[in-house]
Amino acid sequence: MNLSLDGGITFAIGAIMSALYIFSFFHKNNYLKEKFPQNPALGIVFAVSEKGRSFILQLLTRLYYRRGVSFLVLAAIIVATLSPVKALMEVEENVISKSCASLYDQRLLREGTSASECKYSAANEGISKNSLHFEETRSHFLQIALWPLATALYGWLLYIAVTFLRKNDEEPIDNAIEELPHLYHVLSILFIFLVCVVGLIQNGLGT
Amino acid sequence: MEHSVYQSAFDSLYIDFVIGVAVSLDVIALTFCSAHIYQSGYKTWLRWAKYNAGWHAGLLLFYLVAIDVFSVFAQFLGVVLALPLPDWLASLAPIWSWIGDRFRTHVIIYAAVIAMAYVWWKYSEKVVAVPTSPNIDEAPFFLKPIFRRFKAPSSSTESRWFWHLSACLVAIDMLALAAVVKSGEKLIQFPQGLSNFESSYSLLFEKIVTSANIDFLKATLTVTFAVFSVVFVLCFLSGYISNRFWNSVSSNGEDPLTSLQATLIVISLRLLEPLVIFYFIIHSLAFLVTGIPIHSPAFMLGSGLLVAALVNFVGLKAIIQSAAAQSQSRRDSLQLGEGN
Repeated sequence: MNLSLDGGITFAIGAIMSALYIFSFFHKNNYLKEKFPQNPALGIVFAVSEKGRSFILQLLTRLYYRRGVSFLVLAAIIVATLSPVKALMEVEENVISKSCASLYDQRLLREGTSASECKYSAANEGISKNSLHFEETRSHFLQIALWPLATALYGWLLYIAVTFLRKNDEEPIDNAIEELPHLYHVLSILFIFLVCVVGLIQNGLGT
Repeated sequence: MEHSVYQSAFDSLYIDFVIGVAVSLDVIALTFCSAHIYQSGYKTWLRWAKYNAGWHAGLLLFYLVAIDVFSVFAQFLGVVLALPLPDWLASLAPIWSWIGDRFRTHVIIYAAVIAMAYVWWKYSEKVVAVPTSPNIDEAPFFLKPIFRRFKAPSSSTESRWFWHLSACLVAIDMLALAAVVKSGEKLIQFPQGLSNFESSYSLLFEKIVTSANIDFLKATLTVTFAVFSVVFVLCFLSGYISNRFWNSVSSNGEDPLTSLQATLIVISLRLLEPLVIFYFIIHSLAFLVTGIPIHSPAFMLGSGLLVAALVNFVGLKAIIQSAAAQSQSRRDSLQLGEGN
């Protein structure tokens, strides 16, 4: 099966969100409610629709308020992933520079080879570039980092949208999303789309 | 069978002591705001130090062992997922193989990320808690019945169970510390080479037996002993320093500036602790990425970003309010003492 675990989890989230969104269409379907008031199956559908809609609104509200937290966590993951590699490469480059300079001073390098050529050549064969085998683990972390990236990106987009569209600054976010025409649908579809894109990237990285 | 070389950054006594100091910061803040402790003399400080050091070291050891049990369980699950399916389930073989492969390649990363997220979450609760008014609901779930049985929070501040609850609540982050210690290096130590899953029970048993060696036991006991001794010494000293500080303040007359000063000290101690612990989280993440235990000043930046996320999450106002409530409880208890 050509599916990465992180991508699979993201696709599963996307599938659940899509199902909740589709069910939420029944939310204000008065025609069905009036025509089949006693139908137990439709009763369940309406209940799931209500819960799905309120869950999506809660999620959007959280993404709005936690946009700063997502961004800072993302930055911390980037620092944790990149800085050790950079630190290792710096240490290695220093060792190579000193070794090449020493070999050059003692005339142990092949004639015509400068210390900087030695350094360039040795660095390309260095352990940090070739033998650390951290690529696979780093790829896992990059896949995991895509989650806070997506939530931070979405949270900030939501913030911009709500800032421009909300008439009253005191109004709760979920109310504002519900009252502005089509905004709930646009935001839900955008979220599902973003989840699918993240899943595809994770799958590409993982497989 | 090839075993990984025993290697751990936490073997260094220096790092064990740094961690011990970091987890003592909340005890210092609690002692600083507990008039019934710092006013009572060195015998009480010794008793208080014993309770706090005992709870810190005890909970740390418990959680370290719990994580080892989880590690062994994960290894067994890895073997079970490697077993071939019976013929009548042959059609599910590709899915079974996918689950087994993904489990073996992802379990360490996911366990580490979940543990680190949990550490962060625990600090988000702790940074706004008021330990001078201990609440049973904040205790570990398996200890709640014991504290409820002995009515710990409603007991007098001099009672044994009140002290046990207070000390337990400031040691709640030991799970965080155990997770940090285990997430990077030691999770791989026991059983050795968790990243290399065995294909049979006999190989796995052999690996577990080899892993449970004297070096592993020594490393576990060293970190526990370091935490016990550092918490004990710093807790005792904090009783002495708090006594000197508040005596000098009361001789000059306590003013609003002193309350502000006390609140700022509590806030600083509250934020300094996660800053140090998050450094080790970033260090463990870096270890998972590179496989080499390295320290870098850039990790401090990562740690600062996680603390900033923490402040953003709970809100600076909530942190200030809880710190003010903690330092206020000292004055309340003093007034209560005078009233009696």
